[in-house]
Amino acid sequence: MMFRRDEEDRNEHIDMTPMVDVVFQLMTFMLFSVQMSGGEKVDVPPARHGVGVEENEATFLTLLKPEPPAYEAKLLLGHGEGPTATIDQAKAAIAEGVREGKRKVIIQADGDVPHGEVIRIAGQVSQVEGITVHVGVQEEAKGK
Amino acid sequence: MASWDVFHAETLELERGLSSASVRQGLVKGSIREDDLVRPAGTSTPWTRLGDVAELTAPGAATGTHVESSPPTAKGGSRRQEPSDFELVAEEGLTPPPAPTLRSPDWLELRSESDDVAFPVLRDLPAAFDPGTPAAKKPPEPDDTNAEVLWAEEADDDEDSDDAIELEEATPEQAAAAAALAASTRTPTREASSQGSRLALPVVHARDYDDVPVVDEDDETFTFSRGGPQTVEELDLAPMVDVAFQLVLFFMVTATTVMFKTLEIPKPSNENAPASATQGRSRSLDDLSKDYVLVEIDSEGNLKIDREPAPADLNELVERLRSTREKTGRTSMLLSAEYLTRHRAAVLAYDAAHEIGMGIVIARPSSPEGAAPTLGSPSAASPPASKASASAGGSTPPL
Repeated sequence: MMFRRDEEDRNEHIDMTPMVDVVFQLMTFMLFSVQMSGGEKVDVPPARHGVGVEENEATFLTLLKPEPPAYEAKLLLGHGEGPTATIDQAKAAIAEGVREGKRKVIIQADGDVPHGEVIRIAGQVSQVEGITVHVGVQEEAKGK
Repeated sequence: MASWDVFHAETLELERGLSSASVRQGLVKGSIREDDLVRPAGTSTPWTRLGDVAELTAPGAATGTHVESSPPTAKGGSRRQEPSDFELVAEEGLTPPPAPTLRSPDWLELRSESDDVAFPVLRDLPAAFDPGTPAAKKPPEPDDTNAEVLWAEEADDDEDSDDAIELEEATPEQAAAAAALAASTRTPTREASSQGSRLALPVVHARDYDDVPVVDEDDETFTFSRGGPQTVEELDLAPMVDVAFQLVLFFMVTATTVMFKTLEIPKPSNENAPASATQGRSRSLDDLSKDYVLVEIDSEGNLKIDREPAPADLNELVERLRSTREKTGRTSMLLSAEYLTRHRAAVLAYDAAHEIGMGIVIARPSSPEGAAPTLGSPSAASPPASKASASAGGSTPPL
């Protein structure tokens, strides 16, 4: 004699609605909390009228502020974390980017870098044909 | 004149020797009901429902002998097929329960002891219910005065024949009345299923279980499980699809919105320009200020617009540039900043020029080793700067 129901009578359905709700909430949270800009690794100056450029469309150079009393900025290839490079290496990287279709050069210069250093580097890289030069900025802080 | 024994079905009382007139009078008064049972007094004839005896129910009926009366016999052949509502009680000497107040069925007969209260005794179902069985027993003959045929056990039951109670001899008149009643009823008797049972007590049968097939419990495992339809264990994919869709949407949005904010600056001219190309074409700031709004920034970040100090604030700078442009008609800005001027101060001037759509020309600063500042390249890449480039296209910076 068996007093329990058969196995097939049990409703073993897992209600996935709460899980979907939680996932949706997490995604909403991440969607609003994620940094939609490039996540600047360099303290670039703020600007109101910056134009967005996708990462895969440009070649990045980074200028870190010099250690006093030196005034020459530290040039890096890439966006903030690349290796230190000479101007010739930077030009070679830009030329390689142009061959890959990257015709924009973005100089991510720290706000404390001397203006003359930025112009010097910009003049050097401008020797590569077919590029446009941009300086990296960041969103202006709200309230200003 | 015929006399009757009346068994009050409701009160379980027996009245003996009532005349037909008394019975009819009792019917009128209500002391006797049609559902009460009657039989000729002093006989052992089966009890008959009073309402079925036309002699007693018909007003002004003839007062002939009850032998001549013929209770209705229509129920013999056309009786409704209904299951038994009574079963036999096997125990002897049991105090009889209250008699049924409902109308007794036609196959119900009463014990025919003349000197005692008779209780209903079950007889077998009519043959119409089970034609294949010997239940189609021969009803008692009308002329059979032996009242023992009305007892529970049939005469053909040899084993139980000893249980039949011998009845006392009835008077010829009583026997005739009994025979008449027996002939009028002609209801097949039901054979008692329980041997030795004498009393038929009202029991309600659960009709739905009468036809339940007998299942050997030893051969089958007994469970209380329902035999309903089996559930289909199918995984609902809709929530998973929802999650996947949301993830795809999320990655699409975030992948396309990772952008770097930039300001386009004029592309400086070739630093190594041939001397022949630049000779004689260098222009001083005073010359260029006729075509450009001159913005100067020293190494401390102090601004001057057309040699006049200006606040290092974006909104103020924008207003000054706009007013200057409207007054002089110059549509481009010439930025002349010192070499050690911080980059953020230069970007402030770029941003202000972009806000009002002015072209940008940058004077290349001299190195801090002591060279005097000279003009930068007037060439511009942005559309507003292209105007400046056109207006100052002839000038080549002596960098």
